[in-house]
Amino acid sequence: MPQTSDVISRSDIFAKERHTAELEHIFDQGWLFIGHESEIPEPGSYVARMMALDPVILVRSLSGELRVLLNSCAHRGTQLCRSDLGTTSHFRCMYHGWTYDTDGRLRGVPGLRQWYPESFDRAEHRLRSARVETIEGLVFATWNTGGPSLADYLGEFSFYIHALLGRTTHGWEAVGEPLRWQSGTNWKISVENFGMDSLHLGTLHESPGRLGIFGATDQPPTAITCVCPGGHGIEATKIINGSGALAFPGYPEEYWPEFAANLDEAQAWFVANNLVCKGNVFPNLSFIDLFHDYTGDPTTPPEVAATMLRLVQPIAPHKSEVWMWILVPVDADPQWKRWSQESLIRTLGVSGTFEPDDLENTASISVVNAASFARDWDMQFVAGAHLEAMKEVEGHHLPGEVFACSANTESIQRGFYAEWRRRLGLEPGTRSSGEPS
Amino acid sequence: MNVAAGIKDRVVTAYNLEADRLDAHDLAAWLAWVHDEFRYEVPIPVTRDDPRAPQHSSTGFLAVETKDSVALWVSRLSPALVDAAYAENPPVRTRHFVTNVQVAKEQDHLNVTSNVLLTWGKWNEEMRFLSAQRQDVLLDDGRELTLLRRRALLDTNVIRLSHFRVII
Repeated sequence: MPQTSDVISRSDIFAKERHTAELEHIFDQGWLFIGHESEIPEPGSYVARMMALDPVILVRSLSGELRVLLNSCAHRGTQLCRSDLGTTSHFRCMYHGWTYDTDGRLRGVPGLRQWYPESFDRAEHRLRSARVETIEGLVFATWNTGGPSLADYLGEFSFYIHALLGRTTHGWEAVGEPLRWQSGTNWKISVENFGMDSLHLGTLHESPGRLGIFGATDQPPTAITCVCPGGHGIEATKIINGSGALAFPGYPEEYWPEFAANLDEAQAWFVANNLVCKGNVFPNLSFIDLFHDYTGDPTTPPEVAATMLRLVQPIAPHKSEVWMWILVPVDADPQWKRWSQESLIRTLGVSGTFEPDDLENTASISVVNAASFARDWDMQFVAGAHLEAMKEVEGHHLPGEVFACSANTESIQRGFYAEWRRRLGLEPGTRSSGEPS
Repeated sequence: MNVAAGIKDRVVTAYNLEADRLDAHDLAAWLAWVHDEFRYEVPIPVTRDDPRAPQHSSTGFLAVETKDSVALWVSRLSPALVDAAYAENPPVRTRHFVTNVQVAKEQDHLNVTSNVLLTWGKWNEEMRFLSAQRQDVLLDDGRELTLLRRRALLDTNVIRLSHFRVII
């Protein structure tokens, strides 16, 4: 029988009151991914983003600081920025002309002397500004001014972010703008499907597997799953070779020594020799690093690696919006960058060979469980519950609870939902109805 | 250069046949009018604060396909694999409504623009809609038209169809 930590009530996933509580206790309190530093390369560069339902502007201010400003005039709340991206010296409200600099300070108020009392102080009317911190070019922000730093929020999971993105000497850049599509499901279902679940690969994605797009290997892979405090998790499906040689399949071989040299021994071992490595930063930033065998371009080399970020914004209990960033090493050959980009668009993008099946599956979960009888039931995350955490793997100490199996199991989901419950103040196994699950 | 009515009639006829094939999910037949060096791109729509600036990305794409990559779709929908093509099986009911076809003849090809309204009906869900401008390059050997390139410029920057595995 499943233990209470291995199940979650379906009504908890989709309940309106849970959605409201998530916005307040998870999205208004946690560190949220906003964008990649390369998207705003120059002073004055900005992109429009969302922090859950709140529109924000990520801007590299003229003073050189990264700012995340609420996209709402302090006067009457009008949207200041009504474009996806651009370069500017200021943000001016179309309603009454209040004008802010790129640090969010109110600089101009038409009619200030004629229409406003002398006591009106512009300094008291700056834009609401979120705390901003970065790790490996990833920009995060939070409204929680008194909470933990990003480093404390990520805790030991930083080890894995540094491993994935600290490999390159010159960093990564986002190619093009984010791809966006809406999904008819709850954000947690979408995040769990992409960033955590791997057991569906042979069933839901049977088609691309049989078409030779991904996963061809003569050797049985070993799946390493790492569950970190804070609801973060990562899994690597790797071919462990006896020689111990570090290979980074899909990346140009001239990178391999550099990748290994930029990491410590355990980090290099973790990100090397992988078919795929994916995970999720709580709550909603997933990532994947993998190589495809063939995506329909005969001029492309047999294996091309690809790295992407995938953010799932909560919109409503049964609706979310996916944002997808494609990252490539800054100094990669332009041709290689194009191959890598196109391999992701053709597989994990909304037009790809994988994502449409995922969208179909996650929407169907949402449709069925909108009804009262179906949602009075549980979702199970039992796979791997029998595994013992390992102190080290192949002589390497890895942060978090580490499990090894022939496939990645459902350990990360259990960690994710334990954190989700903790932040909502729910006891393990507590259902909306108050009954034990 | 404007073209004779006869050429435009042939283009419109080809588009009508193409829409029939796409809406019948007969990608194998559709591939017949695609050139070997075919490239299909759907650039990401980008809203900028300058109406004179390009409204679609030059570097980001929602879809990029070639004749070979679409051939993978054909295999995916083959009898051996269609049971696992969950996004397309059961099939989405689509209609391509193509209007405002404008043809300009260049030295060795035709530049053709047209508007497309795609309707999208799936099972018992509400109908969804997507509109776009197509920018095509067609080759004409006098007997047969061939599709060499297509850019589909969407009118929304967020895909709200249940997926985007479709040729606009």
